Amino acid sequence: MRLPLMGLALAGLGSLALAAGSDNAQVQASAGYNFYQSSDGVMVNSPQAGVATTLDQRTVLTLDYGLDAVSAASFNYAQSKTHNNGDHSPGNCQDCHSPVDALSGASLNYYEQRQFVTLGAEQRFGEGKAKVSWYHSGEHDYQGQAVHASWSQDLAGRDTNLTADLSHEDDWVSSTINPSFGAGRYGNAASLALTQLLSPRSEMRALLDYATNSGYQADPYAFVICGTCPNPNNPGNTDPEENPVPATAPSERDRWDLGLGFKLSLPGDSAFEMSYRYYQDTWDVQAHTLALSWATQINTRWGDWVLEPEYRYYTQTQAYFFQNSYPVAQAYMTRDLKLANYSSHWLGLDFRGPLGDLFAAEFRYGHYMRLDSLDYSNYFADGPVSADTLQFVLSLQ
Amino acid sequence: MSLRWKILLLAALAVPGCATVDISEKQDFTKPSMAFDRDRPSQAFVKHAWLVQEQADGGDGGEGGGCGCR
Repeated sequence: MRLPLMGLALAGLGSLALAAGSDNAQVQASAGYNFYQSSDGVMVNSPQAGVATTLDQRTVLTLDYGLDAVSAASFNYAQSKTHNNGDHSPGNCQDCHSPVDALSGASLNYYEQRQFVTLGAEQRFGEGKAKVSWYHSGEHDYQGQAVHASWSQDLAGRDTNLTADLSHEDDWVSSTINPSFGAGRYGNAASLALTQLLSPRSEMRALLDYATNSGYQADPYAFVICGTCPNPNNPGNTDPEENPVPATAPSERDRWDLGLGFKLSLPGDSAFEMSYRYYQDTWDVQAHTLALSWATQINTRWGDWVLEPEYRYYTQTQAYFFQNSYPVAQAYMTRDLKLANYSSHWLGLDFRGPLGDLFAAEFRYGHYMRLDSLDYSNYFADGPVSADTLQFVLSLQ
Repeated sequence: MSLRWKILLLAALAVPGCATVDISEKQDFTKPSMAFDRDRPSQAFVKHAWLVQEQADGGDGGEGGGCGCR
């Protein structure tokens, strides 16, 4: 799938380049590098590139391409918390355990690449704007596709903007350790967003988002520890630690979100932003997200740059079927950390601005800290994860 | 009244309170510091990093799609 994806991206780039050759066309391009590293040993190097061509001031064609090179640290069997019961001697676990997805669980020198591309087109009609886009993501064990369509309308002298968005996702999940496994995952989403000027110095944004998801919702690499579940590989073994069974999840998940944002211009070329999001789904997960940032302009030799410290707080309740381990079998079973009770803090610092008349640059750093009270004795991680992100983006305006 | 309806009611009450802003008074909105965070080129990757760790998605009208990291 990689060569067709690369070919498609190159064809799209070529089309944009041809379009840019016409009269009145304007081209914007960007290139960036993103880095992610977490305390559980996952590292992601992610270069990205994008180009946008504006034709006759009304039509915009866009192409964005990105690559996630994901790797994970070697799993230390000698230090394993889940293989120290005497049945396994250190080092022999490769006999029965294969490398698994780095972001889903344990890993043995795991490495993979994900490529993703988005093609989009915008057309302005007076005070309205239509936009369509197509997204594709490809990796060893997951193919994702999505289409989006939106209509955005300025109202009341551009004091108000309403945007409606529809999207459809069609994904295919497979497994690198079980070639016979394959399952579809589908989603439909609709959102309505309102942006409103409140005063000469403030504006707000509200967004309501509803989505349905169906198909295979579990993780093909995830297992749970179940005391009395039949072991498909060794029916006579009743040791819970030696009795992992595949995680399961309902095939339907509906969710809805409400997002509210507020931006206030402050004296001294600075601004304050606050946003809140409420999330709820049919797995009984409820989440609250609060984000605060303060942006101030700094005069540099290259122009007016913006320095913006950021803080984000997230908290959620667990899914109704989540448990650390299962004494008896249930219809749905998971110990996915994303479905547990927990909260997190995120601190960031962003620095962005022009580099002369043609270029702009952005540097951003973030630190993520998860807090929970889970028993980690049955997880590969030693405790709640923390992660760092580092980014650099250069844009041609 | 459930929490969801309280939040919706709060949002609905906030919108009519806004005043018309004359075009000559809109210069503050051209300041670089006034761009919403979702408009930054770096935002997609940061949002993806959060999605890897968290169950909640959506709520910002953004584009994108599925991946194996969820």
